[in-house]
Amino acid sequence: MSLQTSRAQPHESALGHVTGDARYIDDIPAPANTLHVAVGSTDSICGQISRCDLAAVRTAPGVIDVVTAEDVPGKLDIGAVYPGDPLLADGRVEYARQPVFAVAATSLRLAQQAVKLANIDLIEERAQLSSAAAIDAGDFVLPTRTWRHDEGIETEATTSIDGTLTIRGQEHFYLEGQAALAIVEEHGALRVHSSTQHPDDIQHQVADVLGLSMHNVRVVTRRMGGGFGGKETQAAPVACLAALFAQRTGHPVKYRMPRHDDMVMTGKRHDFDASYRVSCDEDGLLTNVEMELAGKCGFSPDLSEGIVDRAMFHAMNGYYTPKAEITGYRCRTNTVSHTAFRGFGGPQGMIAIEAAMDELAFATGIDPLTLRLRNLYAPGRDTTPYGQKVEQHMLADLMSQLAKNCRYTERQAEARAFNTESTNLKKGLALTPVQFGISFTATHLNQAGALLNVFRDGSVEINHAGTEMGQGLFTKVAQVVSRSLGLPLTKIVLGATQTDKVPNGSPTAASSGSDLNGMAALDACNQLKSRLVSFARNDLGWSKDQELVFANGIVSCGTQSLPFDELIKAAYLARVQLSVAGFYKTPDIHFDKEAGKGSPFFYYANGAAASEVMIDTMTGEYRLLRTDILHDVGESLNPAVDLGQIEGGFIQGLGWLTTEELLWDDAGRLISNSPANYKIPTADNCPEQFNVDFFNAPNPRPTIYRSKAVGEPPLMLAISAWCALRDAACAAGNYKSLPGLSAPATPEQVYWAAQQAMTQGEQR
Amino acid sequence: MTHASDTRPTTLWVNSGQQTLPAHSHNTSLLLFLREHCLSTGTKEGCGSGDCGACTVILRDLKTGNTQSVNSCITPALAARGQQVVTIEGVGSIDAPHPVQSAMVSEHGSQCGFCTPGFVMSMVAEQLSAPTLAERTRADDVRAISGNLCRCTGYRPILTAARQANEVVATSNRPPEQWLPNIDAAVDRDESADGTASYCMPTTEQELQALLKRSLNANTNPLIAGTTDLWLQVSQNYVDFESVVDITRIESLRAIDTTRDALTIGACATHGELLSFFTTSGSDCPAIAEILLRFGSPQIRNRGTIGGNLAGGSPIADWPPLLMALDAHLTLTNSSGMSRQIRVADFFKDYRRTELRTDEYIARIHLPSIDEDAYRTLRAYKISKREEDDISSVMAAFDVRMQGEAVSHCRIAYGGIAATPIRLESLEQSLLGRALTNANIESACEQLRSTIKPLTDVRASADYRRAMSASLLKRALLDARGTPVARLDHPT
Ligand SMILES: Cc1cc2nc3c(=O)[nH]c(=O)nc-3n(C[C@H](O)[C@H](O)[C@H](O)COP(=O)(O)OP(=O)(O)OC[C@H]3O[C@@H](n4cnc5c(N)ncnc54)[C@H](O)[C@@H]3O)c2cc1C
Ligand code: FES
Ligand code: FES
Repeated sequence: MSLQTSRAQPHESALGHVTGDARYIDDIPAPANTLHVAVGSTDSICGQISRCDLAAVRTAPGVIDVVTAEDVPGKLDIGAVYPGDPLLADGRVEYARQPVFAVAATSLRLAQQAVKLANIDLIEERAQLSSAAAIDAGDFVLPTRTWRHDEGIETEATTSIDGTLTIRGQEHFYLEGQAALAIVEEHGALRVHSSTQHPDDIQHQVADVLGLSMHNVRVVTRRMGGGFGGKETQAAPVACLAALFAQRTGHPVKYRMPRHDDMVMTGKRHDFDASYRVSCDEDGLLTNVEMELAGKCGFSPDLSEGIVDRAMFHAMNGYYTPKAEITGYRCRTNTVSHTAFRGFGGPQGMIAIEAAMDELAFATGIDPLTLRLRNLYAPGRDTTPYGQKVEQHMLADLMSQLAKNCRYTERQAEARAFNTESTNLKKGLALTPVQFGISFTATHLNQAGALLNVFRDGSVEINHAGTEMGQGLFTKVAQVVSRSLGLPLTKIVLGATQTDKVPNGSPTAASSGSDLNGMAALDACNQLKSRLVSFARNDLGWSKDQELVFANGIVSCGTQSLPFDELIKAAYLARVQLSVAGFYKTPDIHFDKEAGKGSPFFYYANGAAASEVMIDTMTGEYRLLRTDILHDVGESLNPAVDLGQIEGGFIQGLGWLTTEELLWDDAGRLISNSPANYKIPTADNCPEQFNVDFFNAPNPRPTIYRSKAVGEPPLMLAISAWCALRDAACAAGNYKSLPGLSAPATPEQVYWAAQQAMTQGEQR
Repeated sequence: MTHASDTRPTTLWVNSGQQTLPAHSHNTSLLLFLREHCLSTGTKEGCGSGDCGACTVILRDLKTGNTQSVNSCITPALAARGQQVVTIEGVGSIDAPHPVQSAMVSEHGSQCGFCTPGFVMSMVAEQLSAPTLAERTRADDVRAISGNLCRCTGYRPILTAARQANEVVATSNRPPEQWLPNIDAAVDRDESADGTASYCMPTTEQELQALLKRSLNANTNPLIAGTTDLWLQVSQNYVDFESVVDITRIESLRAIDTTRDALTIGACATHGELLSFFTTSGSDCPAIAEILLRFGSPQIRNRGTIGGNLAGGSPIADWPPLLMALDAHLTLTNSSGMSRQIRVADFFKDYRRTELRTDEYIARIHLPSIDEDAYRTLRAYKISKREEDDISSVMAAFDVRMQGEAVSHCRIAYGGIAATPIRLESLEQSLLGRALTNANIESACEQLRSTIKPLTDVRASADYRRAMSASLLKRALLDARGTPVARLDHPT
């Protein structure tokens, strides 16, 4: 697609990125005598700690301080929403490699060497390792919810399918591991540099752990080397331990998690087990959907309430059913506590219904694309199982347009022809939609603040509570300010996210970054402009009948005008306040979680993808040959950034559904514990034909310049590739049966699916 | 061999200046040295294990001017003696960016930016190597960055930037090497290549043998070659060695010699050198090239050696099955300079245990002719979860010769199906003299399936490994019969 528009600005730090000049936590020149943290644990899975001998650790070279749970002066529990996450194990270990103690030493290497010297014994208990075991035991981190919906419409089901799907989780693999640097300032106050998506939570947790008030802790986040949800709650223990040692020793303290520790000690995307019964009538119209979604939460609630809810919200994707019953289990297991990851449960719910749609298509003999199109929400068939009315119906057009543009039907016929000729190579195609709800489902988080400082030389700094993790939020907010004040981007500086500049910020998550912070920044700009308007009218005598126009660095009103910086200088001299706090809260959203009824989303972001694959049935090896995407970003704030989110999200989703296999051994230890055995996509996995376009339609909702959120939704476009692999495996058995395929579809899984199709094909 | 005393600091060339490395730095990685001693924090640590490429730097040999990209996280700092270390800071700056850097900005090739310096270094390194910029295909560009992980962009814009930057450099009047920082020509380049007492760099086999006489303990004073295996001990397990012996400066261990019908490869030949050898016409071997192209990443291939791959004793190493199927022998030499020969097929004793004695090193690998003809089929296949830069779950190599309809000769070797790489001699026997009918192929597959006992681990299940052993055998035999099955297109 073409990026020849002035809005397609490069990332604000692009030059810093490419030259190595952009600093991440570990690059900040550390003050003299900085200590380094490592965390000690045991490989045993769970049980009461019977011995914790740290004598050798304390005397190891370079070790300055050692802490266990008892050394925490304030609150030990750093659970984000519900309690359950002790900073260090509190007498019990709940999963393999749960942090038990921590060491601060003069170097990271010495700290890591020291923690290996501990002797920790557990009175081992039987570990509960699967969702199935938790369901059998009725053991959940939070209560089960069932949402029922029945529009009381007479329907006649002619086909029903029952299915199950195993969906594995995903390691975030942000390239920059978790990191924090804590520095003690005057009067015991702390400054914490943290690689976090939620500085406010870090501030709150550090204060609680240290027994301070929030105003004694200042958190600074300039940028992250990737977050993807993995630095929403998981950054807190890192910052808290650094801060704890800083408070105890007075030294600056850095805690940077090495990759291996990061992989075994921090939470990931939840594994889900889905089971469903889906029925339709003669025309393939859904009549009833029953779905159970069991999220493997790990040992504590963390964010699992909202994550399983979001899986339930997306269990119908863009499809209408007059009757549904959706149940979400939050299974307790003796594994690390799973957490937010781009899509926040939504992808797991969505792939379950997409798998079911293919099964229904196979059972009814209706073409999968036709079946999908028929079942989309439409006027009159527009109520979701959770009671929200879908107002913007674009998917039918969007999907048809995509199908046409990529010659979907023709290529499907070509693939079938190829498949009859070819013995071991088979092609598969699929076109799947995404309809993703935008807003935090925890309503109170849908608020944001911004601080606009205009200096008396006319230069501008904008701060907001959102954090930059590569998604281009800072670039977009700067563009909002630039557009509103009519200033070139060079006049606008982006301040690091800092809790003392904009307090009480929500996490940068749920794709909400620019929706919320862009609006807060715009509010600040509008307030500034109205001050300048009154000043110009009252003090400069500009016309009261005409609008002030801010454009090209000049403020004008009819025939009168001043360069922005001169107007500012004059306003300053006239004692106009040039620092403005902006604020925004999303209107019109509400939800009753227990009843499962309400309008949790401000709007939906839509998209669709068509993918074509080729598999080798002898080995299960495959290639993604081509992907076409049409995605709804509303009126794009920055087409380059949005394109990057779509492409990057798709490939990340592709990794989740193909090569990234999160595995534990039978005892409960993570065995996909390093990039040597957990494989995220490389450039080779990016399809050579990769066509991405925007579906241009302004957001009917009053969002920032009518744009739409784009962070999470594209990840789910990769479901098309998974469905295409299954289609190819089905071809291996001459389309006589549709084989099961678990996610991720590794070559091994594709091989078994093809085998299944071939044997079942023979039996028929 | 002169050893600078270990109590004195040594120096390394970083970009245009000399930097001092403190004494006793033999356990310091090049990455740590750059970040903590030189305060060049543009080079990032994403994994510390050679898997992500965020730490990529370029080493330029001060004598030959040869350049190669390496993972600085698993390269000892002292391995860069005698080389110029070019880092992201040396490649360009905000005021004067390199064309690769400019293209990455204009094509939106960075999002969070953490992986970006590593990508820039790999792309710059590729511009310095073959094929020439004008001939490069998209597949070359993909391969050039196959050792770099990006979690944000999905790679498309990075590939576009690579293409664009290659064009810019190709059409500029400045050849790729002239974009690298200069160093003072007056430097005494030889002196700076010496090792230290705890980081020995023998330059002849005699010197190595003398060192081995001191009865070195492999756990505390190991030999090191490319360190792409051994250094994980240092970077992942935080092991400190007492000293190390870097054998990569011994010219006689690096040579690749061809005689009329045999080939001798020095143990320190790198996978990269061997890849160019086996893809150069006259010495090309598609079966070996297929495996080497997927061996690790460019950075790993630039440092990792064939000797290290064998000595590591891993059941999933890629060279052993190839060498077994080709009936290769090894020369093992001891501290007294005495050599013995052993078949690669007999070298592996048990899980990570080999025939190598503590005072021995692998000197050379000997291969008989690898010429294919109408009657001989050489094939090697690698199965892994991810196409690029992944370890094999199953790897197989075949050398099958036909006389008429019947198999007259065959050697078959596998990795990933037992505690060691293995040659399957009884399977070979049962194929000899047989025609490759469907039934015979199927019974060979069945024999293989029923005799092996592979493991289930993070890479694959035992059942899949068993099934793949048979699939790969079938694929090879169908090929030998002259009725090959179609394979997925790999972009070339
Ligand atoms: C990211 C990554 C990807 C990889 N991909 C692959 C892959 O695709 N396929 C594969 O097979 N391997 C792979 N490896 C493993 C490794 O790189 C190779 O096995 C490599 O060939 C090891 O060689 P080296 O020179 O780096 O060995 P080193 O690490 O230097 O040494 C390994 C061991 O061999 C000993 N040794 C080295 N040379 C000799 C000698 N001449 N005589 C006696 N002992 C010696 C050392 O003492 C040490 O014990 C990968 C590793 C990494 C980190
Ligand atoms: S840090 Fe990942 S390869 Fe070196
Ligand atoms: S830009 Fe974030 S990892 Fe590549």
